[in-house]
Amino acid sequence: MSRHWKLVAVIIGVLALAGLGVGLAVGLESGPPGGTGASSATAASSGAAAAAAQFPAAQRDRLEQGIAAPTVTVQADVVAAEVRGQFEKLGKPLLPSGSRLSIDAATFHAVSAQFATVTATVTGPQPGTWQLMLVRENGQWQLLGTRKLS
Amino acid sequence: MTRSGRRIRAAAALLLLLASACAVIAPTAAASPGGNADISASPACANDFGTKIPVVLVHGFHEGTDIWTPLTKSIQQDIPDAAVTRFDYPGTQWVTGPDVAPKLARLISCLADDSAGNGGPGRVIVVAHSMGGLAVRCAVSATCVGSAAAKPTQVGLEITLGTPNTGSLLATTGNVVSDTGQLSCETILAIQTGLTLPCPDLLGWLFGANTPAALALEQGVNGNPSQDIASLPTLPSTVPLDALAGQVTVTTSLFQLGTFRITGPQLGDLGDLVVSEASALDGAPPTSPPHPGTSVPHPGPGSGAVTIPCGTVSVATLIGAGPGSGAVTPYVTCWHETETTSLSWQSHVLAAIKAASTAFAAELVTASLPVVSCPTSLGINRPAVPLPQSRPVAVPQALAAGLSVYADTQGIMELLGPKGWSCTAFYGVDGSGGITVYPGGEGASSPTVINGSETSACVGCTLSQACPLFPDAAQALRSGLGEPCPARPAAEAVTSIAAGIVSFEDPPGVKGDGQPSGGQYPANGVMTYHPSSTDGSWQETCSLPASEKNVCTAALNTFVSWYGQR
Repeated sequence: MSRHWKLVAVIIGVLALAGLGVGLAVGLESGPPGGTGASSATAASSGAAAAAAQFPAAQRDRLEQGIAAPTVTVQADVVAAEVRGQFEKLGKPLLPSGSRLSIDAATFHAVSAQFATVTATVTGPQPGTWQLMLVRENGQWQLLGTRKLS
Repeated sequence: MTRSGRRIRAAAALLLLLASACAVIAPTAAASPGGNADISASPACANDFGTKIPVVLVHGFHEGTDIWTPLTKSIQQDIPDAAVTRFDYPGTQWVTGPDVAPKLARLISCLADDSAGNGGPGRVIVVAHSMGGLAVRCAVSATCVGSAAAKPTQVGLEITLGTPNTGSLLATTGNVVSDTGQLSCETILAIQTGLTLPCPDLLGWLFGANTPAALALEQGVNGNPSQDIASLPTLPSTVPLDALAGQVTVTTSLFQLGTFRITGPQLGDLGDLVVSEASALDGAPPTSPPHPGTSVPHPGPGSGAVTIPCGTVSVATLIGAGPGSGAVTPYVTCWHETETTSLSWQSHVLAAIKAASTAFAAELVTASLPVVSCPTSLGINRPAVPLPQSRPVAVPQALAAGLSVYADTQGIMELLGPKGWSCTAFYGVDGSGGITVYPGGEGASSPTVINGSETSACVGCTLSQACPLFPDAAQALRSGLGEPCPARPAAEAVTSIAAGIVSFEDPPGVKGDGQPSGGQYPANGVMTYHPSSTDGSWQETCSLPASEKNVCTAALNTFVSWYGQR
């Protein structure tokens, strides 16, 4: 498939040079948050609606409670299958005891049908803001990874 | 703008770019460096590689022979005994199509037959990238291509690079799968390119979506192969197979718990970003530790199943959540596209070809070697016996064309030696004597020489010759004739081959049991001693440059097979 990927590379390069990335970004099913200008309010509104549809409150609540649950066993229920076994074997909780986690559903961004990101705030012994990486398994969003934002 | 409208807009932009980009990425005409050849439509191989091992390179889906330029050069440099042919075919045609497997089968048969006719191995080595490996499966199966099929025995080794034996991660249709254990086409494209475009749009132009090959390479839900792939015959288990897979490892972190390696059917096996490890190794030889899908024998030199690490990426990078995120390919050391050019992949391929070619060269073939009559001096005049013009001898395939049989005129001894050399023979009154074979024009005292001798019924001669290497001969010499046996040099290496037969090697400058020995070249030899025999002790010494040790080995093995039990 060599020529095709050279072609992709060429396209990417030419897009970047020609400034057509904006045009393509319009074509994305769900672009990244943070638009500017007059259209941003509309985009934000429709984005929130889309996020709510893809990330129901029940899913949010389940993740919030599961990640901050008092035991590894309960926490494991919301951890993605790809890492669950290793997490359980490690036997350490995701967050220190006494932590609380609050997910900002408005930041939910579906990267694809299977993967999404959302921002969460941790309060308690080790407060901070995290980006949660989610994978859809059996109809539910599961925690696949985290990235510290602040 | 509606979804279809956005797609049209994006597609229009792509079309404009494609028009300008085509000149840049148009495949270059396939070169034919070093006398190697590109073959496409011609049913005949139309090449005379002599005894060289034919190596056929088969590209994959929507590729051209230009992908093989680096490997062709590497093979030419590292394996002079190999001759490369690059098979070309329309890369969007499914492998069962008339321009793919049937023509590949005819090429394999033609090259193998030519090779056999020229005294070569009579087999080809096939290196196939991606879908090319599926074409080989079809080409060696009568159920797939009928009477055009190549014989499985005509493939001495198949090396596959990222062959989608159970399909590709890059499904072109039916790809909106979220809960079935398979990554979606859009996700894979995003991983590879960073472009979050709908697959039908991008693939429609880049891959010719819905072409026969693209449809056949789809993996269905749960990663099942398409009907086209499922109905392909498997590679016969007797064909040596070396399957190579790429593996991009994915890691993640959970808050402050450290790094975890992703496992499982989705991100756990991204393979080379186009073909999963399980698909690339499906049906490959078993390995330890076990690889997915490796359970079929495919024994032979160079065969195996290898996963080549292609680096590690984080989930954050993978799904576009971190800095520098988006396209993964810049962050990995290899992936599907680089498999024919990556040095680590090439080194595996070269090693496998070398292992196979070495084994081919060492395989014995029964060759009809010319018989050379050596001028023979006799202590007692006897009439010469008639000698045949040639005789069949089991010799390594690679050497067969360059050897002759050198015989005395009495039918006592024959030696194997390089073709075109000279020889003399001498037998005394007691019947002892032998043959000396040497390069023409150099004389029997040449440092490069092959010498055979036998002690006949002369008991003292027999014990004196054999005693350094056979303790019972030394004992007999002491007890019977009251003579001590001269010690052999410590640097002389001796190995027992069988009862009454030993081999020895005198390094350069070491005067030992080799006749001659102590010269500039090592003296390799064999000697027999059977106490009850009345034929005496037989010995052959081969003194050639170390680079020609294989000739000595062939000559000595033949000597042992002919005279080892005398």
